[in-house]
Amino acid sequence: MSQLRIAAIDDQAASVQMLSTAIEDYLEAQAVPFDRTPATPDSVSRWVKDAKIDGVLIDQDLRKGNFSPSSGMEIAAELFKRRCPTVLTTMHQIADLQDGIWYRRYLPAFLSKARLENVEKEMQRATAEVHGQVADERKAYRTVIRVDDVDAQKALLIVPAFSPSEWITVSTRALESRLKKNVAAGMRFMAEVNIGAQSRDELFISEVES
Amino acid sequence: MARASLKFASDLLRRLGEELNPSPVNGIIELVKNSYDADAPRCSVTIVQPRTVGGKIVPGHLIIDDLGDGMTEKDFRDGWLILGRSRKSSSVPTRLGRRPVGDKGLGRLSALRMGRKVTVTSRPKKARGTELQLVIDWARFDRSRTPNEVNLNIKTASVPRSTHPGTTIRVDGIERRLEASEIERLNRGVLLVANPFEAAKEPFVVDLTIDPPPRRLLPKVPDLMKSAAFILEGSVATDGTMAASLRDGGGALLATAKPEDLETRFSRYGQDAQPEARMPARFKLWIFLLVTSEFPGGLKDLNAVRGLLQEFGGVHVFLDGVRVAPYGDPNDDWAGMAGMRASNPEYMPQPRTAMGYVTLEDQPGLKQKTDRSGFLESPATEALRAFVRAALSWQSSVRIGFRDNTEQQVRQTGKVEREQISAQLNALFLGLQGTAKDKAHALVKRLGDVSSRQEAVLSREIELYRSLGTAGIAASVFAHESANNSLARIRNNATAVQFRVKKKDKLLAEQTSPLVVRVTEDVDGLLAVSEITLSLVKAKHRKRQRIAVAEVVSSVLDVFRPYLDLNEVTVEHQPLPKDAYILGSRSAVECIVVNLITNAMQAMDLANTSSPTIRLEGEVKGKRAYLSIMDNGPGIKDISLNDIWLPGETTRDEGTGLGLTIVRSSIRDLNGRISAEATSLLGGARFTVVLPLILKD
Repeated sequence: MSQLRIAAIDDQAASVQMLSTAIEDYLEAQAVPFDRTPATPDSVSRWVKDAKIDGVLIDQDLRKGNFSPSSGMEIAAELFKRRCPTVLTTMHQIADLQDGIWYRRYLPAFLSKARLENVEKEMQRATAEVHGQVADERKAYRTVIRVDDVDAQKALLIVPAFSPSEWITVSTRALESRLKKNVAAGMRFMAEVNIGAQSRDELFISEVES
Repeated sequence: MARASLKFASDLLRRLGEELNPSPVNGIIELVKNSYDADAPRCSVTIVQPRTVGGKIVPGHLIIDDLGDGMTEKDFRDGWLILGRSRKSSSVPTRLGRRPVGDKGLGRLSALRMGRKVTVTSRPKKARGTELQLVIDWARFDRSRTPNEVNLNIKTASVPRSTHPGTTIRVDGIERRLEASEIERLNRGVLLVANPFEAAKEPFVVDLTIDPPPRRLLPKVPDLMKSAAFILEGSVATDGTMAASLRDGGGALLATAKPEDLETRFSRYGQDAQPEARMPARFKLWIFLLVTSEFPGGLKDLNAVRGLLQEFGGVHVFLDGVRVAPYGDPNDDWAGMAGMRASNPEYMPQPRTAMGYVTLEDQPGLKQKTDRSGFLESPATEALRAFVRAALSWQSSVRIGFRDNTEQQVRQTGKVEREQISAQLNALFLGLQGTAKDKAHALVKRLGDVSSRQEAVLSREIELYRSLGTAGIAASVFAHESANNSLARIRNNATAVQFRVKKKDKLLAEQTSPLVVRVTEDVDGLLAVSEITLSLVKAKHRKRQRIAVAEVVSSVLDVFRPYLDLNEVTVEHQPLPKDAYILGSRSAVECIVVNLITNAMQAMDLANTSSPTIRLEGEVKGKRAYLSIMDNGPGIKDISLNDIWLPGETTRDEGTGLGLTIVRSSIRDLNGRISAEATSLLGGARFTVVLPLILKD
C-alpha cells in the first residue's frame, strides 16, 4: 500500500519542518509542503486535489510574508467541506479564535502546536467526521436562536435548546453578514447548532437562515 | 414550422411588485425620484390611509404630483410602461444638470400596485396645451393570462397653454395601511432624496402629507450645521488618489492629510479593500462636540443638534445627487464608525455625534440591489468604506495631536501660571488685616501643600504604571514572537526524540523518558506563562462590557493550569453561577484573579508550604457577587493589613509592591470592594472581592 501524503501548511519554514517531522514520525506518512502561495480556500483545495493529498495539517495564523489573505480556519473549513481530513494547528486557545463559532462545525480537529504528538488522534477524529461519524456533542440540529442584546461590536445570543440562560457573544458584523440584515434585540432566527456541546466554547452556529 | 413567442403570466406583475419590494415605501420614493429626473423643482406626496367605517374598509389613495417636464406619448410608450428597462441614460444630465437616477421601473411597480387603479396624468413641456392620461385597472390584468392581452389607452386632451407642465400619479383603492415604521422610513427617504446637507443650484423639495397625520413628522434638516466643532472633508480623485482636510466649525483649515497618511489607514481599516477599486467620491462630515459650551444658544441649541443627529446622524450616500438608502439610516452605520470608536475611542465620531455624506457621480459599475436596500457589495463599495474609515482615522490622529500639544503647553505654562496666581493672591492679602490675613496665608499654603502631595503621588503612580506597561509590552512581544514558537519546537523535538528512541531501543527509551518528561513539563510551565502574558494584553479584554465573572475566573485558571501543576499547587474552585454578570472590562477581573493567585503561589513557595492549595469560592448574595481567594500559606505577616494596598509596599525583595495596589484600583473601576484577612480557614491569607451584578433583564 502506498504511503499517505499529508500536507503541512504554515507560513514559517521552521514550523513546516516541525509539522513535517510529526507527520513522518507519528503518522508514518509522507509530508508534503504547500508551495502555491497565496494560500486561499480555493487555491489550497485545488492544490490538495492536484497533488493527491490525503490529509492536511494547517496552521491558523498564515499572515507572515503575505502567505495567505485568509485564516487557516477558513481554509480548513473549506477543505473539510470538500471531504479532505484536515487538522487545524494553533498556538492559541481554540475558544479565542475570532469568529470560530461560525466555522467550528467544519473544524472537527484541533491540535496545539506544542503538542504535535497528539496528531494521530486528531487526524483520526478528522477522518471519522469526514466519513460521517460525528460525535453526539458535535451533531448539528436546526434550532431557534434569539438575539438578546446588540451593540455595534457584539451581539448576545441565546440558544434556548443549548442553555436558556447562557449568553453566546458573537461579533455583530459577522452575524449581520450571515443574516444579510441589521439585527436588533428580540429578533429570532434559525440555524444549525450542536446543542449537545459540552460548553459554550465548543458550540458552533452554522447554516444560518437569513 | 410553427411560430411561437415567450410570454409572461400576469401573475408575474403581482409577484414583481410585491415580492421584489415587500414594502411600497421604496416604490413611492422611486416615483419621487422620477419627479427629480423630470427636473421638477417640487413634488408633493399625499397619502390618504384606508379607514374602517362600520366594519367596512374605505380604501385610501396616493397622489404624487410634480411640476416637472411631464411625459409625451412616446415617453409613456417607450419608457414609463416598460418595466424592467430604464430609458434614462445616467451619463446624460437633464435640462437642469441633474443626473438621472436610472431606475429600472421595478421599484415603482410596488407603489403602483398598492391600490386597484392607477391614473397617470401628464402635461408635457414639449407639447404645451396637451394633457395625456393613462388609466391602469389592475383587475383587468389579474383576470388576463398575459399582460399583453390588456390594452391600455393613452387619452389626449387639450388644456390651456398656460397650464404648468408636470405629472400627477394617483393610485386609488388602497386597502393596506402604511405602518408607523413605514411612514417614518418614507418621511426620512423623501427628506433626504436630494442632498439636503448642501445648498443646490436647483433645489428639489418634497412635501409629504399623510391623512390621518402621523404622531410626528421629521423636521427639515435645519441650519444647525454651523454649530459643528470640526468639518472633515475628503475626496478620491479619478486616478484613485485620496485627500482629506480638517477644518474648524468656522471653516478655518486646521490640517491637510498627506497621501501616505491615508494610504496606510486605507489598508489598516479597509481589511480586504483594494486601492485600484477606488472610485471618485467626495466625503464631508460635520462633527459635533455635544457640550453646552460649544453652543452659543446653550442647552436649547444643544438639544436641537442632538435631535438632528438622532434623525440624520451618520454618513449618507448620494449617487448622482439622489440618496441611496439605507446608508446613514438609524442602525445603518455602514462605515462602521461606532465600531471604530469602540476600538479607538479617542476623538472618533460616531453616528450620534456626526453627520454627513458621500457623493458619487456617474458610476455605472455600482449596481443597486433590486429591493433598493443599497448597492450590491463589490470591490468598489469595499474601497469606498475603506476610504471613509481612513479619513475618520486620520482626523482622529490629528485631534489627538492637538490634545497632546495642549497638554504639553499646560505642562510648560502650569508652573508660571501657578506663580502668577500666587502673586495675585498675595496682592489681595495685602488688603487684609490681622488674623484674617494670617488665616488666608495659612489656607493658601495648605492648598499648595495638598496639591504638591497629590501631584507627587500621581507622578509616582504614572512612573510605576509606565514601567509596568513597558515590561508588559516587552513580555508580550517575547511571548508571542520568540517564546511560543521556540518553546513549541523544543517540546516537539524532545517528544520526537523520545518517540524515535522508543522505536529503536525500548530499554534506552525507559532511561531517557524521565529526562524528556522533565523537559516537557518545564516547557509546559513556560508556555503557560507566555499564554498568561498574551491573554492579559489582549486589547479586546480592555473594553467595557458585560462579562460573566465565572467564565473569566475559569479561563484564568485554565491558562494557569500547567503553571499550577508545575508548582504542584492544588486548586479548589467553587465557581460563581454562570449567569452572574458584571459591567466592566475583562482585563480588570483578570488582573484581580491573576494578582491574587500569583501572590498566593509566591507566599506558599517562599514558606515552602506542603501540599500548597488555593481555594476560590464564588457566591451570589442579592445583587452582588462574592469571590474569595484563600490559600494554606503563611498568611499576611510583617506588614499591616492597611499597608498591603500601598504602592511599593512588599514583603518580598524582588516584588514590585504594585500587585495589590492595582487590584484595588481595578476593583474600584468595577464599583466593587475588597477586604483582606491575615489568616483564613485554610491557614493562609484570604481576600474577598465583592462586585455589583447587573441583572439580566
